[in-house]
Amino acid sequence: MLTVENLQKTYTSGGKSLEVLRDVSFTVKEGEFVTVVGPSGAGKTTLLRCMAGLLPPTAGTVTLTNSGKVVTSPPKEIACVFQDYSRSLMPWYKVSRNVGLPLDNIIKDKNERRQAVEQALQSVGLDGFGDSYPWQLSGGMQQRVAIARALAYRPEFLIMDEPFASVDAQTRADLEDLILRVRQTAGVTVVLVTHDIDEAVYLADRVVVVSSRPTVVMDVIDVDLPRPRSQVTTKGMPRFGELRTQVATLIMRASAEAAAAQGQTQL
Amino acid sequence: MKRRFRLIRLLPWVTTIAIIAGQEILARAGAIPRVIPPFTDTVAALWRMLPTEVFLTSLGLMLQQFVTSLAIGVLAGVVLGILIGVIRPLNRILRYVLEFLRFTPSVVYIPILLLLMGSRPQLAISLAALGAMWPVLYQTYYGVVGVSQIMKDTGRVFGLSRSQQLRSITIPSVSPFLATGIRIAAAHALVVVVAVQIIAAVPGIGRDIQGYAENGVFPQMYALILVVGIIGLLVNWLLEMVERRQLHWHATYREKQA
Ligand SMILES: Nc1ncnc2c1ncn2[C@@H]1O[C@H](COP(=O)(O)OP(=O)(O)O)[C@@H](O)[C@H]1O
Ligand SMILES: [Mg+2]
Repeated sequence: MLTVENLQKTYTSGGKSLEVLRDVSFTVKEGEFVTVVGPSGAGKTTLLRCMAGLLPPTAGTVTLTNSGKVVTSPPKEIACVFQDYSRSLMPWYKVSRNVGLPLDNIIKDKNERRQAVEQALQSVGLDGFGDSYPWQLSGGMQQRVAIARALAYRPEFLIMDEPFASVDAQTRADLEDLILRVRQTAGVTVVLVTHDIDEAVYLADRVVVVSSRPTVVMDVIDVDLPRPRSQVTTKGMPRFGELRTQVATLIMRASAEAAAAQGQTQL
Repeated sequence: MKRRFRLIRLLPWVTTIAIIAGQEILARAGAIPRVIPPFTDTVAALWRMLPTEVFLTSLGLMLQQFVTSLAIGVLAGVVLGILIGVIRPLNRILRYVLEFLRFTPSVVYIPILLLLMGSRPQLAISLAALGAMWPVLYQTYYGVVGVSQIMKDTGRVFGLSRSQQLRSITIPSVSPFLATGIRIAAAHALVVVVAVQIIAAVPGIGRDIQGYAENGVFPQMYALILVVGIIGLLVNWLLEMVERRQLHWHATYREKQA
C-alpha cells in the first residue's frame, strides 16, 4: 500500500512563495487503479513528483506501507510515465536501449535483459520496433515505449502524469485500454493523474478529486463499474453518467470556491 | 522540376567561377590596381610555392598552433562550462567577471604577452586558446542548464547512478550545444592564430603573409591567403561531418523513417 499523508508543498523562489499543495491525503491499495483528477495548474504534477520521491514536500509524508519506507528519494518500487514522452525518451538511443537502460542495474545477464526488453515491447504491441529511434514513431507509439520502459522495470507502483493528454482521441482510447490490460498482467498498482473526467472515471477503481490551487482533496469516489471496462459499453452505462456528473460537480464547486476566494482577497 | 533543381544546385558554382573569371579579366585589362594580381597569377604562385621547405614549415607551424590552441580552448571551455552550469553559486559570483572577459577580444593581450613570451608559438597558442574557450564555455553552460527537468526526473526515477546519468543523459543532451561551440571556436582560433602571426611575427603562414606584403610580392601573399581560406573551409567541413555522424539522432540531422 502507498499512503499519502497531509502532503504540503510551497514553492519558494526568489523571495516569492507559491502554495501549491495545502493538504493532500489518500491511500492506494495493492492492485488498485486510482486516478487523481483536478483542474489544470492544480498541482497534480507537483503531487506526483512528491509521491515519486523526485521533489521533497514542505510537510507530510509518502509511505510505502509494506516496507514502512518513507519516500524521500525515488524508490525502486515506483516507476513513472510522464506526459511529455518526447522529453522523457532519449532521442539518442534506440527504442530497445530506452527500455533496457534502467535494467542494466537490475538484470545482470545480458540475454535475460534482452528478453525482458522484448517482452515489455511485446506487451505494448511494439514487437519489432526495438531498432527504431523514438522520433521515428508516432506520438501514441512513443508513449507506449515509455509504458514498456516502466513495465520492464517491474515496479509495484506505476505513477502516470497525464500520460494520454498529448495524443489524439482514438489513440487515447486505445492507450487507455492498453493500460487496463497490461496492469492486469503485470500485477502493478497504478496511480494516474488526469484533468479529463471521463478518463478518470473510466479507468479507476477510485477517483481522488482535488481542488484547484492551493490543493486539497475534495472527495474520494468509489467507481463501482464492472470490469473489464469497454469504451462503448462502460461509457454507455447510466452509472457511468452518474459518476462523471458527481465528479464534475465537485470540480465545478472547487472552481467556484477558488474564484470566490480570489474575489475576497481582491476586496 | 528536376532540371530546375539541378540548375539551383549548380548556381553557387556558376557565380563563384564568374567572380573569379571577372577578376581575372579586369586585372589583365589593368582595370584594378596592381596590388591585386590576376587570379591565375595567384594560383601559379601557389603552385610554385607548395613544394618549398619554407611554405611547408610555415603551414606545419600554423596547423600545429591552431590544433593545439583549439584543443586547449575546448577542454578548458568544457570543464569551466560544466562547473558554472552545475555549481549555481559559482555562476552567480563570477557572472560579471566572465561577461566582461568574454567580450574582450583576446588580441588585446598581444602587447603584454609579447613582452612576456616573445614572438614564439606559445603566444599564438595562448591567445587562440583563450578565444576558442569562450564559445565552448557558454555553449556547454547553456547545454548543462538546459537539460530538461523531465529527462532528469526520468534518470532518477529509473534508478540510474550519477555516472549513468552523466553518460546517458547529460553528455548527449549537451553534445549538440558543444558541437556548435566547437565550430565557432575553430573559426575563432584560426583567426587569432593568423592574426597573432601577422601582428607579432610569430612563425607561421601569417608572418609570411606580412613578409610578402612588406616586400610587395603580391601573388605569393594572395596565395597564402588562399591557403588560409581553404584550411578554414576544410576544418568546418570536417567538423560538420563528425557532427553529422555523432548527432544523427538530433532534429537537424534526422531522416524520418517508418
Ligand atoms: N519548480 C517550480 N517552482 C515554482 N513554481 C512551480 C514549480 N513547478 C510548478 N510550479 C507552479 O505550481 C503550480 C502547479 O503546477 P503543476 O504541479 O505542474 O500543476 P498541474 O500538473 O496540475 O497542471 C503552477 O502554478 C506552476 O506554475
Ligand atoms: Mg501537470
